[in-house]
Amino acid sequence: MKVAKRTFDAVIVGAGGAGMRAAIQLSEAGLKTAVLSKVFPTRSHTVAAQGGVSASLGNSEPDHWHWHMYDTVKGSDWLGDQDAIEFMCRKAPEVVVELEHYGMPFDRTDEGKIYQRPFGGHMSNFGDKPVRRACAAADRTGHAMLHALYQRNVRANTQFFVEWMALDLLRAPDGRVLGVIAMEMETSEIVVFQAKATLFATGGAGRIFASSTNAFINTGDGLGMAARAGIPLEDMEFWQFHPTGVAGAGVLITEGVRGEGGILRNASGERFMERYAPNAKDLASRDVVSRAMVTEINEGRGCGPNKDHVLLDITHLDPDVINKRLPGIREISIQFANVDPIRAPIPVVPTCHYQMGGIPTNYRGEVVVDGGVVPGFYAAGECACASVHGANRLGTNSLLDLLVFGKSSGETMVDFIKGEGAALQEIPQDQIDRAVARVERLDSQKGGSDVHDVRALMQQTMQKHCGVFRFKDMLAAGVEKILEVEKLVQKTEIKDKSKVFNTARIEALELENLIEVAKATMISANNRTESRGAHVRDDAVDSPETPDGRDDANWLKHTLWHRDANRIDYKPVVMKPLTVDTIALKKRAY
Amino acid sequence: MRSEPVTSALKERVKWRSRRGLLELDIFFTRYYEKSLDALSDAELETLLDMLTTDDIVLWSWVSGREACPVEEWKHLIAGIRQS
Repeated sequence: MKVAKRTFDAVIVGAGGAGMRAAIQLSEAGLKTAVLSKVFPTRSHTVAAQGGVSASLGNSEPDHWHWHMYDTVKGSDWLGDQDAIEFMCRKAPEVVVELEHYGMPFDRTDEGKIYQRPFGGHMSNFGDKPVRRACAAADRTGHAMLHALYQRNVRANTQFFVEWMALDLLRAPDGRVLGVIAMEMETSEIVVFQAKATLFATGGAGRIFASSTNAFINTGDGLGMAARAGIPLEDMEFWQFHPTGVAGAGVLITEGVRGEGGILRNASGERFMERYAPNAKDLASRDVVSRAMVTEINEGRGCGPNKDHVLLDITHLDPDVINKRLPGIREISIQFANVDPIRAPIPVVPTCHYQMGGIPTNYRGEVVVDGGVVPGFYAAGECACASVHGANRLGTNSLLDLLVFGKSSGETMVDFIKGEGAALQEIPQDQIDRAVARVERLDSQKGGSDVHDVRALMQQTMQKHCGVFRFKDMLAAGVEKILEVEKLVQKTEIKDKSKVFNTARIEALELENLIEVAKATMISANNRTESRGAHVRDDAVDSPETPDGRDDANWLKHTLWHRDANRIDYKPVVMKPLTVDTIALKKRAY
Repeated sequence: MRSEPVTSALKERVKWRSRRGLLELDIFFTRYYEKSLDALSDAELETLLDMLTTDDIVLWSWVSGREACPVEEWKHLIAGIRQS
């Protein structure tokens, strides 16, 4: 099939924080840059980030990037690559100040400096005590960030293609990436976006789970496209469950609530985190808090008639502090839990929140496969795995990730496009046909499965077989089940074949991306027989050699899932930082 | 198997533009459309499209009741969404 073609220096898929930060770098370098987004850029899921962005500015008390690095390595349960983590933590003050100069309205101290608050897992002096490192704009940090980045892009003449869905990555026979093929939602027209360099900044895929804090747009489109194009996905077994999703709704209560003094309590009113993390208590790392909560619930100390949640208590805080520092929290609690948190505690449960794994990259944003970079292909933000979050991400490091790696991938792309070897190449017809065939299959499918039903089945399967606690037999059965679900995904049928804003078609295409992520997650989780960070297995033995089930002798390595035959292989963790000594392995305790 | 109703292009556009960055709004809009989408006139759908250009944070402040929607012609839509 013949399709129209548009040509750019760079094409970016995704207009959240990472995509827009990268686009600034490219457009300001004078390069012709296209950004494709399913939704208007300021409606990207980055808008949901409330808590802040971490940087060792030291505005409220002494701080150092090396302490931040230590916390991030420890938070990652030593699965994070230490070169990338050093790079991110050292760059943090620079990218935050840059954002301030773009017009980001950070909260201020009385002296006019950026206000910083404590956040789970961020400590001073190599794990000593909590430190104020999170920079925020009230409870709308992500929103303010998107606006600052969007305005800067408008000024730099970035070309936005809004309500376009990328369908597939286009590659040359030698593996070089040549752009993407995409569909305009308004017309269903399919167009090739040819580029010298292509960046995926498509965010996470939290919608693979039934209970998720993620917006409906988070369908892992970049991961699906990468997997179909033969790029492996890294460390997909690692999903962060946010400790405080509103029970029953999934809607997130930011960790900033605990930063401001919120306390988790069980059915008897006990502040149970004192038992699990004597120093950090309620501000321990997210996976530690989530696991503690699930343990309380599993051991019968949960709250409510079904004993299926715990309580987040802020009734002891000054209502003025709640209204001023945490205003949105009150509405969320009232709307989704029917509780005014000034008067009564909020029912909460751990809820899928963030994808630590993703498209394998180095800290320059280049996609890396088999030890070499894929020419012309880059990834940044939640869809990428640099890997800075390893087995568990610290709160506020996600906004930092997208600023640092959005910028670094943009810089690397500028160098690549302006350097030798970056030329527009003929796009093989089979690459185009492959994507078009997927859309045509949908339009011609008869007697197929219903998209909503299959998606629900996938989400329930993931939730039941691959949740906060994982069990050997459940994972093994989960692999079988998710492969069965995949067969249904391959036969989805849509009744509505119209061309204008056909949401049924879009959702069917999204499901084809979600299922790739679901398979990668289940199969990677089934294979990793230890516990580490957010991946917690019931059958991983706690011994002096394997504390809390973490088995460094056998499992200090990154998983790589290949779509082809669901093959799994592994690659070493980068233990050597750029300039400082390795942060040596030790048991992770708070 | 469930069959999808064939909807107008305008309704489809409204549905897609109600895919937001915030899960809170996704949940409210989904509930609202399940109950009310078919009852909305084309004029109301056009008004809704205008309203959907609002930032998520602002829209949420109205839907959550934290702030009153200042636009007269959107108020009944916000009220309907809040009741869904």
